[in-house]
Amino acid sequence: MNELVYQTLPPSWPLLPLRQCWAAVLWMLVCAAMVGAQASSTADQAGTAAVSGRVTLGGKPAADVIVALTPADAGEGNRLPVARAATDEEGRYRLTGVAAGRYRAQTMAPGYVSDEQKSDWYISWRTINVGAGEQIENLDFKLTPGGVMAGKVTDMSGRSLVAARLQLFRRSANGRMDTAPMTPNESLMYETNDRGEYRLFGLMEGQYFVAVGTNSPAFSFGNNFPQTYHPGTRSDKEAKPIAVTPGNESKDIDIRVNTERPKTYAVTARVVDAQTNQPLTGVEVSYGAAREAGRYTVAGPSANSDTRGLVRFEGLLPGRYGVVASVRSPAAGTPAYFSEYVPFEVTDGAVEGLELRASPGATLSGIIVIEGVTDAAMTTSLFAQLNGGLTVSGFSDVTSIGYAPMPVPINRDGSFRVNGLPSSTVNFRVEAQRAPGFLLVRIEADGQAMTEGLKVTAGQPRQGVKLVFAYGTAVVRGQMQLVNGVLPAGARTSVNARRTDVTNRSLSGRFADVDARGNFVLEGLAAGEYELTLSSYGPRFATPNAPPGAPPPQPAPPLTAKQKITVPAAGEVSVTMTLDVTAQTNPAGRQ
Amino acid sequence: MKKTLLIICCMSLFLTALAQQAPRRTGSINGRVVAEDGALVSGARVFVSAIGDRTPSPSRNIPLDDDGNFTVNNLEARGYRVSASLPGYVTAGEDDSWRVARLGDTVTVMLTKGGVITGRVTNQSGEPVIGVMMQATRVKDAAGKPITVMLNAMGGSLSATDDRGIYRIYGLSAGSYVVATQNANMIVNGSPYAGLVSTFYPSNTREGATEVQVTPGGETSGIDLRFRGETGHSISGKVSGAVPGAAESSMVARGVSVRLTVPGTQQTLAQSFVQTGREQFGFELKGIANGEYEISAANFQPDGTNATSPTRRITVRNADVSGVELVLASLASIAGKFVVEPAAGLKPDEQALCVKGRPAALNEIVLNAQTVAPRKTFQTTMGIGDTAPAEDGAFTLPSLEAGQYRLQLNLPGDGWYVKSLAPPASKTANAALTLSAGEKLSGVVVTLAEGAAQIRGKWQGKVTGKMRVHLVPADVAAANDVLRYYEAPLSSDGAFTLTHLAPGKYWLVVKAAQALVEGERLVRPLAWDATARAALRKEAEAAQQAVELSACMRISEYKLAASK
Repeated sequence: MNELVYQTLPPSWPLLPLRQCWAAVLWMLVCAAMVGAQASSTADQAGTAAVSGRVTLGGKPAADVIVALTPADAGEGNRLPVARAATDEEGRYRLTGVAAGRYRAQTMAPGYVSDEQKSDWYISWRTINVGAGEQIENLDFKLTPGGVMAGKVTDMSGRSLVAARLQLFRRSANGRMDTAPMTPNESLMYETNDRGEYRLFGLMEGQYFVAVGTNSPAFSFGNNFPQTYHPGTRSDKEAKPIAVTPGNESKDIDIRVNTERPKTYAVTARVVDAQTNQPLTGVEVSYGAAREAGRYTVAGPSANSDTRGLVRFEGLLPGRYGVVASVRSPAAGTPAYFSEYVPFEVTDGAVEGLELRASPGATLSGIIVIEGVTDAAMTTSLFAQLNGGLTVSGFSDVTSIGYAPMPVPINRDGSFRVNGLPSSTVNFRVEAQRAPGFLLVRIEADGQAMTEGLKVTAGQPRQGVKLVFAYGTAVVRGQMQLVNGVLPAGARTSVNARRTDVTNRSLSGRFADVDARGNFVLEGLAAGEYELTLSSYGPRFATPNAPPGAPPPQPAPPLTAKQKITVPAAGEVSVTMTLDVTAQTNPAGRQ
Repeated sequence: MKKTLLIICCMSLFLTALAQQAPRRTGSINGRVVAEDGALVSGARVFVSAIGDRTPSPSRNIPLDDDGNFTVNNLEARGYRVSASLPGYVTAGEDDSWRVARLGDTVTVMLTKGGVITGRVTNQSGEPVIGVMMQATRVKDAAGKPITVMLNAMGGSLSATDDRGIYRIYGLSAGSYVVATQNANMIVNGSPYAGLVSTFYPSNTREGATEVQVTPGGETSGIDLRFRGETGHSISGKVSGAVPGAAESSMVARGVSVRLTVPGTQQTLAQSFVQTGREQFGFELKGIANGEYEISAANFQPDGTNATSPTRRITVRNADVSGVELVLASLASIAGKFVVEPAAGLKPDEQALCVKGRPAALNEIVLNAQTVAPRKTFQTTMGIGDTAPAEDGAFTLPSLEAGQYRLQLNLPGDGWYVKSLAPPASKTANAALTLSAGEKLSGVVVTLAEGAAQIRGKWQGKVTGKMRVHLVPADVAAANDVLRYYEAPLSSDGAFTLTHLAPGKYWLVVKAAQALVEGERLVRPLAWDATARAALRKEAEAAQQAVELSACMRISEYKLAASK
């Protein structure tokens, strides 16, 4: 599932000094917290359940380690613990007063690596479903000291590069580079200090590549420079892998950076209203390097058009680019504008005269239908519940960049209308926290059921769209049963329930994580036949002592199991799903 | 009849088109970034942004050569703010001149090496505390003057401890700092220290904090502390009142924040965003130790429609405090327009002088509102920022707290002077504007006239410290007209330039510069205070340095004698 992340410009907070890079990093976190803050907690009422277990460090009891439960469904960045406790001398912890609900259980021990983190599935946690008054025991955590990587970043003359951002890449099982997980708490360590030194700690064992700089087209500014890997190469092929082992420090992992600035050029573009040809002021314009015809990455900076409709970008290297105008999340009352992608090439001079013809964003309107509900009062009440919980988001056709979820306001009669969408394939999403029990099962446009996602185009209203929702309160309680072995430490397992009559492949079903005890709970299902798919992902990174030249093993495909069930109109149904662990070593035996 | 109408329509369309096609003045701003210690500055970032842009545009990236020189081309005629940042460096010293860059200007940005605070954080058993955020909050400037204004959103500079418990906060301006573990109410994702009471250097509560001195470019080490890790208490409640956008869907984060401060200061102790979901703007600040606090809520919107709550006093004594209600009220604003009165009755030679002047457009004006009397503290630094009128001269200064204000103007070109400032009748008090809380004052008319005079000169005395030259109206009828008083800084060699002067007879006098109030960027003109004004005028009259300015007059080598 794609977690849409969007960056919000900081509110115009007074005199935020730009030199405070760390403050800026924190801003991103704060913005994330603001986004996350929308999600309400299901578990804020006091409860009587308890969760206990033991934390060990290298097999010995670990004292004074914080173990916490956070609501599983809260937004990232807003994960305030609902229960937290420190381990005693024996490494034991006990979390009490826990209300029934889904949680993530985690140790909070910076500098250490917990066993569930070994999945490296970017965000690591252990899901635990807690029943009312349940006493859960033996939820144990095994910690190992993290590895440390330290070094200095200098230019070719040995001068320290201050506040240079580091990127850490895992060497994956197939030998390739993979972005290493970076948790917000640790994000500050990914920057050199005023002496050019860095120190990355709490690293999982494995092989890494470390780099500074960026290959963004705007690299030639500030202390940005082309991405350079340890020990001092711009080629990822020549990058030297660094083995990291638990509790050890890999020292002197220095990076020498050629900061010489190549000749660069400026580009000017003008944004005009496609209908009136008048210049548009204050429209955000961004550019990026072209990847292939018609597609490019917006990695470059953005700027707002001035009163002449002009934007100017400086410092572009020769190469192929594309530029696009977009007002993505317009303030209330201001129109949204989007332009087509305009390709251009920088050769040996400034590029002038680019014109971005911008149109107001797409309008999407139609009606919501709740399947099988005929009672008018009931329908109105369901519309009211869904209102505020339904959002639309998507990935721009042109840039493939996601935009922030926009609320879909629903009227009393079920009609809806969203303005200002970029040209994109849209994705509807129901926030289960706000509107539990709703599942989008069908999208009809032009009187036909769609088999894939709905496309909207800026400047062209899309009317008469029918969104058919199933509404239900049935609950599926499941248990995963493993045969022929156990899952590797930190395997990440989830279940997806999909109604068998849903033919539109863009519509996802209901997801639930399989918790530390192999339990899962799928809530808010309507009556019908469902196919449950259980998928388990194992580790996929190289171990520290894997010989560099050896042919890397292929990353293991997920283990899966499927099962069909019939869900009643209400109440609970139990299911046991069997996962054959041998399938991991025997791909042919898999479905 | 129909035809005529059509022609008129066409004509007006044509005229509109003409107006829109009128060529706009464009040009460039040149500059240089200089590090006081001679460090290589080609890695600095330069920011050039048009003052008064409602939608804050991401700053343009400006390439620098190895000597720190830069040129920004193709700029519209506006007032610009030029700044630079270089990691580890701070903008050099406070400056009493109003830095507005316009087309053709050359700007120098001076940077000095910032100071460092470093130390180690351990727990009660002496083990390193890993990944705890350390915050240094500047509480006094280099001269020992208390900081009364919140200088950045986070309330201080930050660094997290590494696996050895070591932290290093760099790029600090000289002054006195309070160093503490951050109360991480805002940084909540998986931090073991979220919502724990801050431990202040040296291993104390806030009351027991010792200030840490930072010298320019110096390193203050050994600022070690033992983290207490106490859970403390919580302060919770809700924010109500004028929450911008509250009526709309709550899906969009509204950025309402609650801040806990040391009473009578702007030192932030804890801060949190309110929940904007169905919890209806509830907030909770965890990890608060026993003590006296001030709490307030604020909402900053990108368009400048901000709201703050009155500051409330809170005492935490061995228990949680709940039910704190903070009522947001939108801030006051001043709106009005600039009009230009053509010079009438100028002699031909005067006129010739005037037209030679640099062209100027109304949207090149930069203005801000400054309180007539210095404020003790700033609840918010909003409203002290500069703005610019639109092309038609209309302006709004948003986000002002209640108080008495005057407008500070920075005029473009050299042809205009401020003839009059006409607030709505009830508000007139010698061109000062009185705002009550939340008042939206409109209809202020600033009349500019053409024919401004200018004096460039040199004071013959010895410049000691910061000094300013004052131009004082000799005409007794203008004795209390603050618009007829002008002042400008003296450079170290005594040179000065007084511009945008109304014609008339004046006296010149040089005085030591009044101090810049912390948190303000502009020196408050001496003439704003009635007593100081009377004294100034008396002194100027006694100094016997008179000058008579006619319209458009340019005095270039004025020798101002030192008074005995």
